[in-house]
Amino acid sequence: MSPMELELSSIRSEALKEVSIADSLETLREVEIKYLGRKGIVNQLLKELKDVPPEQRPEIGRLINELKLELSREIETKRTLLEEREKVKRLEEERLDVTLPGIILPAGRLHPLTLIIERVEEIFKGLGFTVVEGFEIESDYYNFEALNIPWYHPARDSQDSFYITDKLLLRTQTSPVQIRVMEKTRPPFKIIAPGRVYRRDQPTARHSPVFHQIEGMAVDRDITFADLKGTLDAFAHALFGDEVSTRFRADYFPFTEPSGEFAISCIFCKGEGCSVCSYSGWIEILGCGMVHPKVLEVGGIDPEEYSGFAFGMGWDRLAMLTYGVNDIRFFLENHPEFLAQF
Amino acid sequence: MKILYSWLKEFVDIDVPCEEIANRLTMAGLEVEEFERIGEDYLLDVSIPANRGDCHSILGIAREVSALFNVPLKLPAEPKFLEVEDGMDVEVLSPELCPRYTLRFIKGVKVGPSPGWLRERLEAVGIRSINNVVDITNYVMWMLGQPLHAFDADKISGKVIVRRAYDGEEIVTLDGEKRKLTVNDLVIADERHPIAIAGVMGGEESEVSFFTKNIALESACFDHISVRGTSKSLGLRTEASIRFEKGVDIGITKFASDIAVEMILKLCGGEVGRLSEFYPVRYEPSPIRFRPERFNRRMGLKLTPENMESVFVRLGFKVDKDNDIWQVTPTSYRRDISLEEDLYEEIVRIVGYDKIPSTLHERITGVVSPPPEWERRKIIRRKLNSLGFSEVITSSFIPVQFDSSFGEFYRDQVESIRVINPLREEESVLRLLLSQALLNLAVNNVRWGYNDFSLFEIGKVFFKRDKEYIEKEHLGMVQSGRFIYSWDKEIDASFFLLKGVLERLFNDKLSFVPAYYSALHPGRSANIIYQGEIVGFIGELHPDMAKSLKLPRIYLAEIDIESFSLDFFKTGLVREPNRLPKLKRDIAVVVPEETQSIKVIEIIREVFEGILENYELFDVYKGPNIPEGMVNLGFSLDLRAKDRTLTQEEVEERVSYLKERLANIGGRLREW
Repeated sequence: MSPMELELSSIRSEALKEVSIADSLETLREVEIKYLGRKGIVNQLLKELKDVPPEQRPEIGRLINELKLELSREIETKRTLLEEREKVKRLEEERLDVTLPGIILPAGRLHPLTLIIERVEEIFKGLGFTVVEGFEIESDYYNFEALNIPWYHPARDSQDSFYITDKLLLRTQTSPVQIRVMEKTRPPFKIIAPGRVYRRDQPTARHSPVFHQIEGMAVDRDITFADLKGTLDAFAHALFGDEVSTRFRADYFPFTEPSGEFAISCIFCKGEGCSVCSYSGWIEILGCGMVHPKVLEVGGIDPEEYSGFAFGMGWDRLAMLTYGVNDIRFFLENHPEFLAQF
Repeated sequence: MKILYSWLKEFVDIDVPCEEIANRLTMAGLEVEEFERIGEDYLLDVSIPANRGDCHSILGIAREVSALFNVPLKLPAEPKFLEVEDGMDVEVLSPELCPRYTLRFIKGVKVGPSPGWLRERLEAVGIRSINNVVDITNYVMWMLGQPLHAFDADKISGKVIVRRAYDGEEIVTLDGEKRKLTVNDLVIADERHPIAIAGVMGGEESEVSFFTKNIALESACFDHISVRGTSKSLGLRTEASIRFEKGVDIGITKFASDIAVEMILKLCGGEVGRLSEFYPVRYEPSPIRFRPERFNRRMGLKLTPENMESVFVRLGFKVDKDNDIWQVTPTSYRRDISLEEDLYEEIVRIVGYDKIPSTLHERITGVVSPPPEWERRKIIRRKLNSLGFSEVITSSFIPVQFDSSFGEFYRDQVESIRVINPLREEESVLRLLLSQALLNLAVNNVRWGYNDFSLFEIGKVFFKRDKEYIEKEHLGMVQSGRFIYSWDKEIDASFFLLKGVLERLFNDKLSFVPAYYSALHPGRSANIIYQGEIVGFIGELHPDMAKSLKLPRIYLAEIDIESFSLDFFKTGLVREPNRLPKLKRDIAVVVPEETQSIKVIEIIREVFEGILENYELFDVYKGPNIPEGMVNLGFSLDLRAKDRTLTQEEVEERVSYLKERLANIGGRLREW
């Protein structure tokens, strides 16, 4: 072996050793530069080739190229290995405690009264009804007189009003909407009118001075009392399920004749009797009747030509029944824990 | 009204379980609210509707039972007794308020305790026993529905006069209260002064006591409106007034008196004097037109005319048939029946509401859109939910302490509305702004231990402007504490977070200008402008107010959403996506720190008009590398033309124009 061959051999073993002991990509890169870089040992050897006797040059040149290729290969292999090792290390470092809680993005919720009215609206929309709205500050005329409740009428007792002036009050019921609709709309029409109402009642679990009602009214030729019952049956079954039974009985309201009260079998005790239904098995959900001929006349509709039915129900009460809430005051209180459940 | 089953059976020949009677009465509109077994007997508590004054008696309920079960009614026999000459004169000066009045003189009675059976019966139905004479008047009232009153005749001076009170006239009633009367009140007076408030309560002076020897027994029919008015204005409701205001049968006045006389003679002794009666116009019920065919058409039933007639007969109504149009005359006690539809209800009630079929009126009435505000509300709710805000619904009444908070919004042009007869202070002032109610809710939330909340309400506000009472729909928002929170990341409520939500909700169509609100932080409050009008405000609650309410930093916003049409929120026509290449250009603008960023944004919008697709202000920086008194605003611009590929040269041209424009406001572009 020529001295050059000997040198090559020692460089080779030294280089392979350095590659094999390189334990990081950085060290490996240093080794690569040291041997294969532009000013590296291998390039240095190639430059020194001119000093080799001409007859040996092809052989030495071949050996240098071989060394270069071998080192490149070894370094690449080692690099792949180190990269894989580093990746495994990095992945290990990135390991998460997957049992930590997730980051909760705020998601808004709707108020239960909104959820209920949207269901009620859907049901009545399917029955051909449309939504209308009225005023909360009403005149005595729309709230009472026009609805066949003159000032001396005993029905006013149960609707003690908050007055704003002698003639203006906070409406005690959504029924004034009946008159306002008739004044603007010619039959046929079918409407529901949800809204806020006010009564001068001491707040208790069952009564709130501020609460909500949903009024309904349909006027057309030949609308019958049986249509009223059928509409309410359809509504009750859609909202409370097909398994509930319904009860329709006589009642009295000044602005309907005949008048009725509509009840469903108690959804809590299935009619067996419990505190919610006062052990009667029935839960009253609304008052209703055929629109009183005097009320139709007030609205400019001829009671000989047209007939209609109307109903009014407690909106909060529907929510109470649907969600098993036993205090009406919860709805306007807005306790975060209450609202978070909807 | 409480009744005993045994007492009821004295008036109607019925033999069905009491429970069935209770059920039928309920179905027919006389709701039996309580049903209780008492030994061999039953006690029923019947709720009488406002129009059924005739049912305020055992006899009334018995008449209903008789019609419902089609069983005979048993009326007491006409009492017979010998009269003596003595009597008292009666003069009715206000016949419009007293269509019928009777007074019977009875002398030499022995007032004392009632016999056991009478006491027990009264106590069972909830009446306290007083003495035999008073108990008999109450007993007959309960039985026949006719309120009676017995005076100590020796305390009456001269004749009995039924007249309106004089304004300011006074009487001490049986309950010991001194009552001040007006000309609207009807009184029974002697020649000196009132001795009773007609139909409501007797006077203390002429009360029947154990020393009473001679009595004057009143049985009368008073105008229901007048009794109701007096009862309301005095705040005095009695068993008598309850019956009079719902209407007492004018046909039973004398009969009830006679029944009471008969009982008094039997239980208290004495001699009956003559009856003084005033009854100038005999009441005759008017016939009502009834069309059997129309009945079936309106009710959705198929009853035969015979069915209908039999119901009228059971109710004691007179029927005159003339082919298709009948004349039906109700009984004198059914004053609630005056229209054909009232007769319909009678038939359906007696036949049973459960016999009504269930049908649907399927004729299409035309699809009418819900009002725009209804749809607008739905869109806003959905958007705010997706932006992390939850809905609340608060009372229209606000605590008085917040009465004028944030009122600057209305620039002194409105007044808040107060209720003139509040029950409590808490229900006296209507909210002028939702922020008042939301601030109150924030106080509650914090008191309950909840500091992190992002809430909104869509609801009405109320105010008076130029004598007009106005309701408007507003959107109110309140935010506090942490918005996003976890062990990893946290984003707190802030002025800009709330502002950002509004910008998203209102499609960047709002502008914000600093404004003064005494309840808001002076450096962190703004009016919200849309189309040149102030439509709302936003701000941080004033630290002083927060401190006094024990609140952390609270952010509030309110907008009059009636200023925005439904179309504003609806998606209109959409454009095709622009597929031309987009150029991203970041610029750093250095401007004097007092410059409002909106000015810089306006310049950028103008300079890049037509090619500015989007911009983002990603950095606001003061400090090293930025001269004292200046602020660095970093913008990232998305530039793209609609019709051509944008070139770098065109962009640079605009950037040099931007430099010129910035120089005008004392700013410059900072090179990277």
